Amino acid sequence: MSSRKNSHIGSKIVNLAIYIVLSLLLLIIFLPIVWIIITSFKPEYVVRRPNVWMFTPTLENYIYITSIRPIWKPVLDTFIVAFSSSVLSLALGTPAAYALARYRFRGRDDLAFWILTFWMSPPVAFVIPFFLIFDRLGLLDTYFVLILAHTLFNLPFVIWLMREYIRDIPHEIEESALIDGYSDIQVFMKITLPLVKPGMVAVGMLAFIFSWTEFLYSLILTSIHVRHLTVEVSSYWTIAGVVLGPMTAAITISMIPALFLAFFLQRHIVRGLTLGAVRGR
Amino acid sequence: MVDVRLKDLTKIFGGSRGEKVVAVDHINLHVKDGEFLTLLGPSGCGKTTTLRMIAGLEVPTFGEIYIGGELVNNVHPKDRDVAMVFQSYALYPHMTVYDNLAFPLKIRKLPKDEIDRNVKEVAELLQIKHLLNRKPKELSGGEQQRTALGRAIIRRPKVFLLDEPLSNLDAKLRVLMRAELKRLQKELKITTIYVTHDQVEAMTMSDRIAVMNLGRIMQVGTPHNIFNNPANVFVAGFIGSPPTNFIECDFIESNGSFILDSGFFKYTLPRELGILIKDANVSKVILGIRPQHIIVKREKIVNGIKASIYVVEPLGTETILTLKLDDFMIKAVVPPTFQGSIGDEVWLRFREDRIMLFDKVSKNSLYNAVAEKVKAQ
Repeated sequence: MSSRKNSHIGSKIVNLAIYIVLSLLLLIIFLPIVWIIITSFKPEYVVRRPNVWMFTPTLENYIYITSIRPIWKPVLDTFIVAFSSSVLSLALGTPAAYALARYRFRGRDDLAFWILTFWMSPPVAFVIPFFLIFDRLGLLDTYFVLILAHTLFNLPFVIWLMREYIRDIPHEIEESALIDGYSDIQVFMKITLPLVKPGMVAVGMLAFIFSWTEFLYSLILTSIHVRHLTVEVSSYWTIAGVVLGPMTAAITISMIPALFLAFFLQRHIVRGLTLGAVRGR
Repeated sequence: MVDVRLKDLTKIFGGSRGEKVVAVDHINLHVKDGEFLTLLGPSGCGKTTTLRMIAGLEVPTFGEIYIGGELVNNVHPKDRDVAMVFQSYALYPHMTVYDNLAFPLKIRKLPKDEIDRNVKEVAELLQIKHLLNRKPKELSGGEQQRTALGRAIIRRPKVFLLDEPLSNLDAKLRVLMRAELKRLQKELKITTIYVTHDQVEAMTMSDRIAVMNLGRIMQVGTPHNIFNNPANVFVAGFIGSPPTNFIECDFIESNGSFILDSGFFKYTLPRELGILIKDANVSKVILGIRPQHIIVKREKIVNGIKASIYVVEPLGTETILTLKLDDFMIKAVVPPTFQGSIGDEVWLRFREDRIMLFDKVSKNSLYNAVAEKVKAQ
């Protein structure tokens, strides 16, 4: 009895320790974000003095990025690229994931792991060849090149995660439909896809966020005609110094969609991130 | 006329490290038109793999499958006109019961009113009419099972394949569904292949049973035949509860009579049988006796075997005794009126007409070997 009581107190102490550590981590993550948001409301003369916390909030930075140097074009461009690339990577990745989850063939697991290695490898390794190829093709600074690049770097994790979602569906349901009269392609389209829809939403959201926050490819493959938000934000870092006020306002605006998605879909996204982590297969 | 014929059917799975697993090993089987045949065996004996090959979900490594006389090895599952009920029921979770039932008919593009009529008819038959608008997750195990059955029978398939459909139900419901399934099959007269590891299901429902072990068919026969004339030690041990007692004996010929000697008892064989066993050059024999076929008395029996009671397990309808003979344990079933407690001395006798004899080396029934020999002569 007493040992049970002791272990009860012990688990409470462990819980407390976990919460303290988590709170510290949260603070570390949130401080910069809070600082950015606060700074975006600071008037010009306060911005340069970071220690000032008391000031009259102003919208001058937001007026700057909406009227003097409009941010709408980069927002739209980023949205087009993120949306197209996440839809495309789902459309290509889900059938691939289905094949890797359901069909038995030699080297299947090796192939799946090989695909994942692209996700592990540094993006910078591919960006120079990309630049050279699309420079020759005259496709630099187009939606096409950036959508293609983002689709390619999102594909490995889309395939990997969708494979886990598909494995979660009992195979017998698909086999049952086969016997009931569907062809293989009908089973995939009409049984599997409706059942993995929640997974596709979660994975699609993650792909969207990854594309939304991508910087390296956007910087190197596009410049004027297509302008990614991350590139736009970084361009406030000028020869004359960092234009901190408008920059933080632009960052704040660029964070909104990602925060919005994360907030409303956090349950799906957390599941998406941890899926496959606990399964031994 | 739809029969199912398996010819030399074999399935070899390649393991991840290149090793080969023979799941089904040269099976030959003929399931007759309208018959209820059960594949019975312990887990891993290849019975489900066999069923999946008939359904078209697994490709045989070699061998042939005929449904209604037609070779179907290369026929897609959807074109085999079989229906299957899975252990997990495999209902479509995103569809209502109505849509689950209508699904096979919708695929076949039947007119809407005909689908509706069929769904209502089957729902009526299986008493799930009040559940038609529910999703599978809102159903109990029994209701899900009925829905799965309904989805299988609604299009009147040529062959009905059932993979342990009752094993996820609680004991009471299982007994109920067992009887209903049997009645349903007799009513629809659809050739049925049923997979189970539960010998009670096999015995109660089947026209014939194929007992499987290690990918092979050990014996095919009626429940009566399987129970009373097991072809080998495996079948004798697998069928029947409590399991058959096996006792190793030496086969001795002395003064013109033939005797089985186990060390703690002797049994004189009928002369004809003795001669045939002698001719077969068998010196070691396994004697099998079912617990139900052992007579246990409190008072001394002439030529009886002395034993002491080790455990008493009353079941109400009967009592199971575990008896100790020297270092050997034996189980016997006695009427519930039997009075006795642990340590009591009892006398027992085997019913001679019920003794089973097996060759110790081949593990096959000596009666069958003898019968074959007689047939050959």
